[in-house]
Amino acid sequence: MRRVSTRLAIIAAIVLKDLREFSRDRLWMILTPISLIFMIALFVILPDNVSETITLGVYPSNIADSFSMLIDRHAGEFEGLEIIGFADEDSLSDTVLRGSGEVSIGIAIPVDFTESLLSGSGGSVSVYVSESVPREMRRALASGVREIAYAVGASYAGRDPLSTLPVALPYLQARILGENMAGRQVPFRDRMRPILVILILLIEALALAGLVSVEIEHRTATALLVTPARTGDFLAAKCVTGTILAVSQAFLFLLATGGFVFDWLLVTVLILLGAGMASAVGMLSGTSGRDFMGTLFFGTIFIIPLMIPALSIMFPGRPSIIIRLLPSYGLVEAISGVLGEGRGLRFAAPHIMATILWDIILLGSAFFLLRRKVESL
Amino acid sequence: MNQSLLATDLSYSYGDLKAVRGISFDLKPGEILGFLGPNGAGKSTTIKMLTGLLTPDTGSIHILGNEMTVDDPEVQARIGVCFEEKNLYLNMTGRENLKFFSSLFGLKNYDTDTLLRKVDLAQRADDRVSKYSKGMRQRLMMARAIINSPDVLFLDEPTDGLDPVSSRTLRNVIKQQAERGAAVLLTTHDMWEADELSDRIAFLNEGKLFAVDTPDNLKMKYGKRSVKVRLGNGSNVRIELAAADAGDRIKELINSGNVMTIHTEEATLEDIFIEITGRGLDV
Repeated sequence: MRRVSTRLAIIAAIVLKDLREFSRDRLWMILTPISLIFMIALFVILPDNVSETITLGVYPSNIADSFSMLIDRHAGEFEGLEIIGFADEDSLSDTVLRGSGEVSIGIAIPVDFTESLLSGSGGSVSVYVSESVPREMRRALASGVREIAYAVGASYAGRDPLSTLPVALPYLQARILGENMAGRQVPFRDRMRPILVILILLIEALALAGLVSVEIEHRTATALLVTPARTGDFLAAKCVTGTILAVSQAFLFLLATGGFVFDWLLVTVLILLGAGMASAVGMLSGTSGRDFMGTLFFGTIFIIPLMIPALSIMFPGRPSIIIRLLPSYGLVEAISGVLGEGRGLRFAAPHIMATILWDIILLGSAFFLLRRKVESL
Repeated sequence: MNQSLLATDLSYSYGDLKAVRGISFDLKPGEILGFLGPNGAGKSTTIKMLTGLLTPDTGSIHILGNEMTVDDPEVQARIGVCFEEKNLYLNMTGRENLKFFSSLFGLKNYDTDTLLRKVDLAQRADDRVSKYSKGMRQRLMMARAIINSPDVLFLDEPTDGLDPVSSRTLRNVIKQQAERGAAVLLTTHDMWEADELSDRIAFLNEGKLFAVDTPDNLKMKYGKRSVKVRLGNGSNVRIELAAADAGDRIKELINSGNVMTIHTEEATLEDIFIEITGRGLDV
């Protein structure tokens, strides 16, 4: 018998051939760097910090001084609230109207406020809120104004406002369930980073799908299988090619956006798991489509559900059970936690286990279908 | 070992369609066996079974003494296959295609230049295959099939639709491979090519094998031996050589001084195919 190449040498030869073909494909050679540059640029232009301070504009400015004194006295209760005084009501309303974020809420108290209160007419207080301020905040402000009126009345009567109440106030203790993110909110671009990583992985899945569909459409896979290369070698090579394409792009993105300042080993593991999922999607799409357009169609069909968990992390609250059952949920959660919030292995471990399970299921399905397809050529 | 390939009672069906129905044949080293049959006769299905791409429904295949199974790298290292479809990597050059396949066979630092010269592609070795003509692609397919100096070579319609120059180049390569000692199974529906190249010919129709013999024996067995005499007045006289008075009639015509030309008229393989199967090769 003649010497036969080792399985590893055969797989390596097919992978090198795939990468060469990829490098000769004009579409992907344009699309890949452009999408990478676009993702990096998008990341760079997104806001890199979160303002946790609410600025309250107050007219007249002498009342603003009283507010500030009150805030200083109850520093613990008014954390994150800043007061700015305005010389006239128009400038206050204009500032809020501009919506630049400098002052999003304003209170204009008339100069005869105290007299109106004491005379019993009550007077009129204007509250200016930017359109971006939630409805709940407006209600809170209204309550605040009533509190101020009450305090002013008590003050003029020469009494401590609290002592005029017929009941004793309860002791309030704020307990934050879960992790207290006050002071370390995740900036928008860091929230976006997991989405961009998942998007990059899935774009490379389409590139692999293209390579697989060409092998099927041109029946070059048949030519491979009458050599010492086995069907298993072919499948393994496609998986390796997909992983190389996806990992390299994701690594470049993370290098450019500082993703490796976190636990780099954990990040690498997550990227590898994501690349495995992308390879499975690539093989499934390539097997399903008969030509380029068919591959693109099926690729989109597979990719959209996998993007949903990535999009869901943009919104507060726990995702629905359907989203949590999607294959990419664990991966997205883990990437989001590690890259967005700097969490560690303890947080990521259950998500990693779920992702490994989904990778096995998806890759197993892709291998089964691609094997059937290749052997039926 | 005096048989490179032994196929016994091979059958294969695509659903309800029986593509191959219990065929048996053998192939010896250095021999070219031509599978002659029209489109849809079962030639390509037979090659797919013989090369391990399809598992036969019934029967067995032995190649170089080993039973052939799907995904058998030991046997596949010793065979070469030239498909009917031009399944080449179009974005790679001719040389890169050959280098890649040589690496699958474990041939390190393979000299592609010699092989490319053999199929008249040395000048275009570094052009992408997407720029090759149909004839050039087919010649590259042949080069790929013989890259591992196979002991058994399967050629599925290797010259179908090619220009005369490309066809002649490929026929020369096929003859060289047989002279080297490779057993060659050639499927074609070109009876002239089968006649020129094959040591033996097998007629395949509707999945059944009808006759396996040398071209001469087939012609002797099924053809009519006759001569056609063209006379000075433009008329033709056909004389059956098997007739008892054939010699006297020919002598008589020659002596008359009226004979312009005399041609032997042996049956073509297509005539024999039609006689045996009841249908033509172009159907």
